[in-house]
Amino acid sequence: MGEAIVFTSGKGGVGKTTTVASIGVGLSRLDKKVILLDMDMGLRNLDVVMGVEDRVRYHLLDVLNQKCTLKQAIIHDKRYPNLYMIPAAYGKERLESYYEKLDVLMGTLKEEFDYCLIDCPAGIDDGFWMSIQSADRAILVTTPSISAIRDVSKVVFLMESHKHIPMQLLVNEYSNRLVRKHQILSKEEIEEILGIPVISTIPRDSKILISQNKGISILDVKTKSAIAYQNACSVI
Amino acid sequence: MMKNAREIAKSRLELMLVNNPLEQSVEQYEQMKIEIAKIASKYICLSPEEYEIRLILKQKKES
Repeated sequence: MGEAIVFTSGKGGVGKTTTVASIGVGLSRLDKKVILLDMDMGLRNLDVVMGVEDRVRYHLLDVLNQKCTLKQAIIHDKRYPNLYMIPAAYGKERLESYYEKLDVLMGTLKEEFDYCLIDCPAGIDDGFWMSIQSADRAILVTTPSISAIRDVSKVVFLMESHKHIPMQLLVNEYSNRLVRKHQILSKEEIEEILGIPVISTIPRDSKILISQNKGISILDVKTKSAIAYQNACSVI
Repeated sequence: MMKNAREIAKSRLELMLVNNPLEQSVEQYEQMKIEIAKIASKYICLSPEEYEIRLILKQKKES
């Protein structure tokens, strides 16, 4: 039986989608069978970050509405034998009616895959609630910026009051140099403020943007953030 | 001495997260108001439409 992990943050632009894509590639390299689920309905981007946007035919809501089979909606990334994904719908509709169907689907996926990684939309609207609905664990993505930390604290509060699953933090755009110069909060301080353990810090790295523009995974680039994401996978 | 960015960030965050309990727990706040209204009704002869219960937080002073 696999595990469903939701990647959420509250704030946008902190690297949720990048993290889901990178952790997905990293776990698949550890011989885990992984499926990525984009739940950012309306503004899907995981397919773009994965470089498979030209292969999207069906999406998650098509599967839940039985407009296509599960197999038809799954995109298999040939570069990574163990990695699959289901794109999000590119439109806006009410999501509450899908919660139960999603639970069923997640059960099916967990039988087939070791990890189901859920890319949650920014914000705390229905897309957020749908994303955490069927998750077994949450990895909260933040950066050392105080607005990102504040938003994550809101997510922590919502999770604690509505959904009791283990939570861990992943801090993107981290800089040991700035911590040493006392310019940003350290990993330990972020842990203390939020009361959640940090499983990994990923260094700020302009190569992430460059690799995304090329449609290749940061894990295929020899760079510091790639090493950090791969290390995060062994902790996960 | 001037505080560095890290210390400023930390104290701002602590204020934000500690100082705003209302925003973080709307349901509990509503529940609290209902309970206070029940107690108040023992002592004052007013119907709930005639008064309002509000919590006013004092600004936390920087030390």
